[in-house]
This record gives sequence, structure tokens and C-alpha cells, in this order.
Amino acid sequence: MNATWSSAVRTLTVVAVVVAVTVLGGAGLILLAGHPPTAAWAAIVDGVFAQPLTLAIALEDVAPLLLCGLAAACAFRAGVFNIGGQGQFLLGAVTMMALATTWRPPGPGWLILVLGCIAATGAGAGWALLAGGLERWRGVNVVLSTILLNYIAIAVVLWLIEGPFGDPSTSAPQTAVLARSDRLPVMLPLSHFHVGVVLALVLAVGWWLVESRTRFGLELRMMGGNAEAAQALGVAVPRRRLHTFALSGAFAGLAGAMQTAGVTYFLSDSMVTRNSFGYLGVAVALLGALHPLGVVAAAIFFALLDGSVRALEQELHAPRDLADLLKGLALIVALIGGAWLMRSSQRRIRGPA
Amino acid sequence: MIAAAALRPPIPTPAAAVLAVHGVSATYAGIPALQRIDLAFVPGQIHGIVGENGAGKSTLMNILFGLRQPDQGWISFDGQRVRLRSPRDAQRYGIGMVHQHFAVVPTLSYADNLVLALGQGLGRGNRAALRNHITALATQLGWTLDISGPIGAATVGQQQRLEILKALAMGGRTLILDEPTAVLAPQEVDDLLTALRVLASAGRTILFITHKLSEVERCCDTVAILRHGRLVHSGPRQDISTTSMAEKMVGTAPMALAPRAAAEPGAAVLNVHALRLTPHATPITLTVRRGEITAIAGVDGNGQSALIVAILRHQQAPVAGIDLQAKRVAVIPEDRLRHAVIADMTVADNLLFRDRARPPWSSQWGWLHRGRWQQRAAKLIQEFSIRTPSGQVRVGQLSGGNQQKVVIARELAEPADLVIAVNPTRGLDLAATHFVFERLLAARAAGAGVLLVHFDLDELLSIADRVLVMHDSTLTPTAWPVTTRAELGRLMLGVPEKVT
Amino acid sequence: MSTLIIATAIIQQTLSGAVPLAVAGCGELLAQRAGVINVGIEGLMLTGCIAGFAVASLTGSIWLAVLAAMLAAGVLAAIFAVVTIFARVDQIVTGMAINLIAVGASGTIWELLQARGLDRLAPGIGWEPFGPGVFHQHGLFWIALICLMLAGLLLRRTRAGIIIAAIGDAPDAAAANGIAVRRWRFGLVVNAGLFAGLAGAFLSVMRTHGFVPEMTGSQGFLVLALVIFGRWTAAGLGLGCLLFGAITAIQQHCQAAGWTSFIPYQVFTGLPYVVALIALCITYGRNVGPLTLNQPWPRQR
Repeated sequence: MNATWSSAVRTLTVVAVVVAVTVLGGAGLILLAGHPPTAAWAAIVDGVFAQPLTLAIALEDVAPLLLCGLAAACAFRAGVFNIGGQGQFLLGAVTMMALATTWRPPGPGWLILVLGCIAATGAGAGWALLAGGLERWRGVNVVLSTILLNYIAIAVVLWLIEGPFGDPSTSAPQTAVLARSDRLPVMLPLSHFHVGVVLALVLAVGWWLVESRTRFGLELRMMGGNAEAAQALGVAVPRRRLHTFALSGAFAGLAGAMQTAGVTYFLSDSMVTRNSFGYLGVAVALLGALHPLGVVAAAIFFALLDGSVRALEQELHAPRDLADLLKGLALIVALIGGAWLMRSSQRRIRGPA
Repeated sequence: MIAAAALRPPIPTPAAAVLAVHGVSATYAGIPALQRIDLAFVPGQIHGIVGENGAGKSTLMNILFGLRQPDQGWISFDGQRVRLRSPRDAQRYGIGMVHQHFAVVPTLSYADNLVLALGQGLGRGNRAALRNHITALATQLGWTLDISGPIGAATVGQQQRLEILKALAMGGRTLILDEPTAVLAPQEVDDLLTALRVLASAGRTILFITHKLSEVERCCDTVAILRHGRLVHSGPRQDISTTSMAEKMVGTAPMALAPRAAAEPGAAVLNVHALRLTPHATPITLTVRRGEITAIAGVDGNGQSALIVAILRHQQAPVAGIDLQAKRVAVIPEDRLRHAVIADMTVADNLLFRDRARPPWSSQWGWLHRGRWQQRAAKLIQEFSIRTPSGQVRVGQLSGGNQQKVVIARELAEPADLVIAVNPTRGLDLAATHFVFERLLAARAAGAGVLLVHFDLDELLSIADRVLVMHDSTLTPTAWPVTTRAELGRLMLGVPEKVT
Repeated sequence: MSTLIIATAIIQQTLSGAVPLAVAGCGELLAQRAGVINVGIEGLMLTGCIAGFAVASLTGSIWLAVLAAMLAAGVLAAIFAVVTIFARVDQIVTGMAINLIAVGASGTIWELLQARGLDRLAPGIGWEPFGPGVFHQHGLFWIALICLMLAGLLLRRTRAGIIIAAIGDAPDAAAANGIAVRRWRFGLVVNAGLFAGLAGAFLSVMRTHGFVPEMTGSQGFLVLALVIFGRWTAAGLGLGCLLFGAITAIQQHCQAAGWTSFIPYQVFTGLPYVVALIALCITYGRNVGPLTLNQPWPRQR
């Protein structure tokens, strides 16, 4: 009991340190830029926490961050370094748009959404399986192939939204805008805080159960712990790795679908090149220590961080990229904290055999 | 030519310089590994340092070689206090070490390995001088060697000789050998001990670490016994009997295995017929029968791993020449951290990996019943006396012996048809070794067929029913116990019959 | 004769395009041979870009800019080194964190620069020692060539090269031979950072004379692919960089020459990555790199 208590205390300490470093780091940088921290804090509280609406707006990003985080977390847990969330996200987004605009079958809005999500999930999984196949049959390093596929995905999706899936009514490189009936219902009016967030949370809990209570999850963790031993113990490692790729890509593809169907309602070229949910998903996963509930917390943390920096940007003209800088900082601190936690719990247990 | 860092000049010392440790203590991950050791090593003698695995011998040697610092105490050389902050410092005082797992980089050629060790540039002149020097040393010891080939081609015994020569070539006046006979066949052991005698007579100081008392008896002039990090005896070898040594090593009278019933071999569980491990190897034939321990003796690296790998692979995809009649195969692999346990997962998880698809711990669709899982783990922990505070501890935190117990508990808790064990007592102290062999014998008594691949001939002979010898990917049956130990040694080395 | 002009232009662009890849690749090659893979090279290059640009626009001196770029990237690389080598955190993960920090920091600094009107470089900053023609290359090209050759010589013919290979393949054996494994790795990683910073400075100050957010555009990741593709040798790396430079140059020319009227431009922009992927596929089976890549040392038992 003592051991679990002290390990819980130590984990909370690391979490507290991470948050503190982020907040203090941000405050420090604000100070450097010449604004008093109190003004900054007031701007943040005002812009994010003051009303349910502003909070909801800030938390709009939770759905894609959480899902991309789950994508990276489930893959890393199994020892598959899938950094391709970016490309898988985009494939999912474009699939959803294709199904909802250019290739829209007749039917009610909710049906389109469901079909779109399913198709997007498949598209993301398929894109990830490209990397998986390259690893399995050509021995290509996962990290590199997924990163390269990200860039290829950008090119492909750009072409798709300019060409076949583009909006015929304009020459701008973008898809048509979703009809009102085809959008994800919003939970708080005037915001984009849509039901997808709930779905994402449900999926996070679901993944937690699968990872810890099913044979599939156990085998993934075995592979992540020691792939050679897992193979010796009967886990069909190559096949399971492919399953992991598919699962990871599925999460990311769904994230893309939700983002287009719930927040932006269309897909443009600047959105394709500018968004970075895939990479942020990796950061979220690491910050959450690859644990599904940790990923939820980390996603919320990042979303609030983004919202705060946006508020600062509006009020105090602070640079927007501050958010990324602070996220990176938080991540490094979390990594070091995690290493420290590992080490301090690794006391050798003495004893004659 | 970019200048390479040269070895710092050696420190001249008188021939009678004594290397000594004073009050040396060290902890290892919070546990005391050495406690106030005082020892002196006189030149011209072979000093045996004896203890079980985990007694602290390696830690002491690492301190003497500069690989780690003592937490307390100091080292003296010729009466002067010295600080050995790294192996380089040790080399300057002429201390050379031959490690248990040789300090060679397998992907580099032998010449490159020498450069690595000796810190000289690759100029032609240097390399030739080096080669001559080493050849001269080898001749002194009565060895004939070929050092021009790549590392991978040399046998283990040859590699060890090269390591010794390397240490000597670096001006080594004090030679530390860490369990050098663990990897050798009996004749090679004889050669090594003879060579050490020659070196000692020439005035060098030899530190010989071992846990085999028979060797201490044969060649050591003094013996120091470590137990749980404490020095429990030190003095001339003649002044203590082997039985006393054993007692002091373990702390109690040595355990013997319970006498076992004669083997009653049953049906065959494994039939290997005409299996070729490499395209040009002699085909292998092997039969393992129930109720019998079939042991394969041999020096590590002669194809044993390939054979085991083939047998294990047969479980997933049929391999020609192998016929496996076993439903449940228990495997205790050689490298437990690599192939048998997942260090970051809990003891409970590790105990039940094999059974993860079986009810009642797992339902049809893969749902795991954690409650029953933990219960079963608790039972196994108790049954096999695994020393751990709970089942939730990470396996990586357990000692080597307890990790092996986890593996054995997992594999042998349910009756198996075939048990394959490869070097199962590696790194274990006597109590754990005893435990492992007892469980293997229990499996045998329960009717399993046991295939034991072991590199320690003495341990192997203590429980084997049938012995085969593996050399150069060829398996030769023997008529042990009719076949003598010397004969086994010959087969292990591949020495052809007609040698006088 | 216009073919000659085009060919010359293409060759020039090839060499110019290969420079940042080769420079960053030199350092990363040595670090990887010693067993440390730095996915954050992209971020380090970007750091070099912004640091170099900022100092160049502030001071107008190219040498100070280069120094600043190398220093900034070196510091970030040192952080990476400490976290991965001494705290033994996973290298890939830490590398991604470095990328994130670099993107955020560079974007922040760029906005600050823009706000202060410092977002332009004085014309004429540069250093091109040799005249027109194919060899009208920035001075860094020659330095890159020399560095590549030195790296190759180092690895194959000196004791340092043997030590690096030993550290990457069998760090236990290296340590037993008295080599301070972690110190070497630290030094090589920081060195890789210095080179990456230099490459970044080249991109912003010397070639483009400007800064664009995320201007490294995945070249850092390409460096990783090229090191693997070159099978961890300097010669292979050099060849790969040339190949890449050529592909980029050719695809740019095709776009400029109007091929986009019948081939969508995305085919061209995506081409280098597809080729990189194919290149990785081809080296299948010979992808045996340093044995302990991404494995912290000493191992936890």
C-alpha cells in the first residue's frame, strides 16, 4: 500500500510540476514581451474561463486532440512509432467531405454523418496500413515512412480538394460547405462544441477498457514491452503490428472527419497545410504517459492552453506560436518527470531466490 | 592522418608491487554489494576469489579495473594510495582484465578491436609491431594463434586467448580473469590453468574469479571467499579444505539434490530426424522421451541455439525433419530478459502470459477476468516461493533468481509434455540453481520429456539421464555414464578420436 | 543551347539543394553511428534558420548569424542529449518534443521580429567565392563537401571512427575498453546540432535571404532517410543528397516549364517524398544500422 501511495504522490508531483512550468514559462515570456502578468491572467480568465460559452469554444479542440492522442498512444503502447497521425487525419477529413458533398448519397443528415465517420475511419486505417505494409514487407523504418506519408497525404488531399472533391461553384481549392443538416449537432449554441467530443470521451474510456482488460490489449502491451519475448510467448507480432497500425489510423481518421463535420464544415487548402493535430496528438499521447485517461487530461490541458494563448493574442497581441512553445516545454518536462518516476520506482527487490 | 588519442604513459612500478584494497565498500542499486573488504594480492601468485553469483566478486573486480568507484575505502599499489577512475587509469598501473563476456565489438575486425583497446593509430608500423608482440606472447604461453581473421570466425576459447593476450600486450602485470572457464571445454580449462601458472611464475599477479571450487583447488595459491558482499575467509589455499570452502561460500552445508529414481522413459515427445542446421552440416537426429532428461552438452556457440530455434519455430510452422508430439511445451530460454519475461510488466502478468487465452481467466471474446488472474498469480507466487512484495511489482525489479522463478512458475506450473531448458541456471546463486534443477526433476517425475541444453558440464551431468554432445552443429550421442568426462570434453572440442 | 543553360541551372540547383541536407547529414551520420537517432533534426535546423535570420537582420553580419544559428541549435541539441543520454528517455519521443519546441519558438520569434520590422535582410549578405557557371555556389557548398569527406575519413580510417562504431554497436565492450560512452554520445549529438544549425542558417540567410515559418519543410526528416539510405556511410549520404537535390531541382523546373498544365502540381511537390519512400524500400535487407540505435546506455537490468 505504501508503494502505491508514494507512487501516486510522485505522479501528482510530476503533473503539478508540468503545469507549473507551463504556466510560469508562459508568464515569463509574457513578461519578456512587456505585458504585466496580471493583465495576462485577466485576459485568460476573461477569454476562456469566464463563461460556459468561452470555455466550450476553448474545448472545441478536445475532440481531434483526444482522438489523435489516442491514435498515437495506442500505437506507441504497442511499440509502433506511428508519427503519421497528420496524414491519417487528412485522409479521414477528405473522405468525410467527399461523402457529404461530392458523393453524397440520398438520405438524412445523421446517416451521412455516420457513414462518413465510418468511411473516414477506414481511410485513416488504410493510410496507416500503407506504412504498416512497408514495414512488414520491405523493412522500412516506421518513423520515416509515416512522416513521409504525411507529406504525401498533404499532396494527395490538396489535389483531391482542388479536383474531384472540389466545390464546383468556386475555383478556390476547397470543398463545398456542408449543408446544415449534415453537420454534427452542437451541444452549446453559438459554439462548435459538438457531440463528437462526447464520442471521443466514450472512445477513450472504451480504449482504456480494451487495453487493460482484453487479450488484444494485453498482447499490444506485451509487444510494446518486449517484442521478442512477446513473439516467444505466442503473440503473432507482425500481424498484431498491422492491427495496431489500423487501429491507430482509424482513430486519427475519425478525428479528421469530426473536425470537418463538426467545426470547420469544409476543407480548404490552407486548412490542409496549416493544421497539425496529428503531431500534436503525439505530444498529447506522450504527455498523457500513453494512458487513455492521461491522454484525456493532456488533450484538455492542450486545448485550454490554446484557448488561453488565443485570448492573449486577442487582448495583448501576444504571438500565437507561444502555445506551441509552451506545449513543447511541457512535453520535455513531462518526459524528464516520467523518466524520474521510472527510475525511482525501480528499486531492486533484494532477496535470495 | 588525424592524430588518435594515445595511451597515457604507463607508471613504472617495482616488480614486487602489491595491489591491495582497503576497507572497500560498494552499493548497487541501494543494496550493499561489498562491505569493508581488505585484501592484498602478491605478485607471482594466482589468487582465487570465490563466491556464489551475487556475492560481490564482479563488483570487486570492476572496482579494481576502474569500471566503478568504491563508495568507501581505497585501493593501494605498492603501498601508495591510487585512484582508478577509469579503465585507462587501471591500465597505467598494469592492471588488465579479461571479462566474462569479452569486451569485443563483434562487428569490427580483430585489428580494429585492438586499436580500440590499445589506443594506437592505424599506422602500418604500429600494427606490425603489435602483431609481433602478441605472437611472441602467445609462443611464451605455448599457444599457436591466427589473429588475422575476423572476430566472428574465432571460437570462444580462441577469443578468450586473444583477450588474454590483449590484456598482456597492454603491459598487464596484473591480470584479472572473471569466470574464465565458464565457456570452456575441459581440455581448454587445462590449457588455461597451465598458461596462468606460467604467467604467475614469470612474476605476474593473477586474480582468478570463479565459483568452481575444483579449479581453485587445482591452481590457486591463495583463496578469498566472499559471501553476500562480506569477506568470510582469506588465506593460503592449503590451509582450507574444499568442504570448508563450500560451507563458507554458502553459509551452510552444501545442498545436494535428492537422489532420484532411475529414469523410466516413456513415449517419444520430440523426434528430430535428419535436420540440417546449415546446408553443409551433418544431419541431426534426436529423440526426447517422456520421463527422461535428455541433455545436450557443448560449448556455447556450436549450434545449440539454432537447434532450439528450429524446434520452437516448428510450433508455428512445420519444419521438415521435426516431429513434435507434445501438446504443451514449456520453454525456459537462455536469455530470460530478452525472450522470457517482459520486464516492464507485472509479475502477475508475466506469470499468466501463456494462459492468456485459456478460461477461466479469459472469456471467449478476449475479456480477461482480472480478479481470477490475480488470485492465480498469488497462488503461484506462494507455491514457487517467488520473493516479491506483491504480484503488482514489475518483473524487472526482481533479482535474477526470482525472475527465473517467475519463468519456471509460468512454464512448469501446469504439467507439460515437453520441457526445453537452455542454460537455465545462468547468473543464479546456488539456492536458485538447486531450485531449478529440482523443478526439472519434478517435471521428469511427472512424465514430461526434458531437453536440457547446458554449458556447465558439471551441473549438466548432475541431472542428465542421457547425454549428447553438440559440436559445430553436429550432434553426437554418447554412452554416458559409461563415457568418461574426458571423452565428453574431447567431443565438445571436436578433437578427432585418434589423438594420443 | 538552351538545353545547356537548363542543364547548368539544374545542376546548380541540385548542388545548392544538396547542401543543407549534406551539412545536417554529416553531423547526424556520426551521431547515429554512435547509436543516437535524433528525429528532432528538423527542429534543430529550423532553430538555425530563425536564429541565423534574426541575428543577420539585427547585425547584418553573416558570420555572426552563422555563429548564432549554430549556438542556438547546439543548445537545443544539448538539451536533447541530456534527456536521452543521461535521463535515458526514448530518443524518438524526445526528438518529437524538440520539433514542437522549435516550431513554437521559431514562430514566436518570427512574429516578434515582424512586429519590430526586422523581417528583412540587407541585400548582399552572402558569400559566394567562385564565379558563375556550375560552380557558382555558395561558399557553404565547398565546406559541405569538405565536411562530408572528413566525416568519411574519420569513420573509416581513424581510431575515433572505430570508437564511434564500437559505441554504436557494442557500448558495453567500448566501456570495458575504457571509453566514456556517454560523453562521446553527448559530444556527437551536440555536434550534430551544430551542423544542423549551420544548415538552417544556410537555408534562411544564405539561400532564401528570408524566413518563412516552418521553412525547413521536412528537410530534416529527409536527412534521416538519407542517412539510412546511405547505409550509414558518408559516401552514401553524399550520393543521396545529390539525388535529392536533383529531384527537387528537376521537379521545380518541370513546374516552371509549364508541365503543370497536364500534370497536377501536387505530383511534383509530392515527388521527393515518394522517391524517398521508394529509396527506403530498395535498401531493404541492408537496413542494418548501428546495433544499438535508440537504445539508452547503460541498459537497465
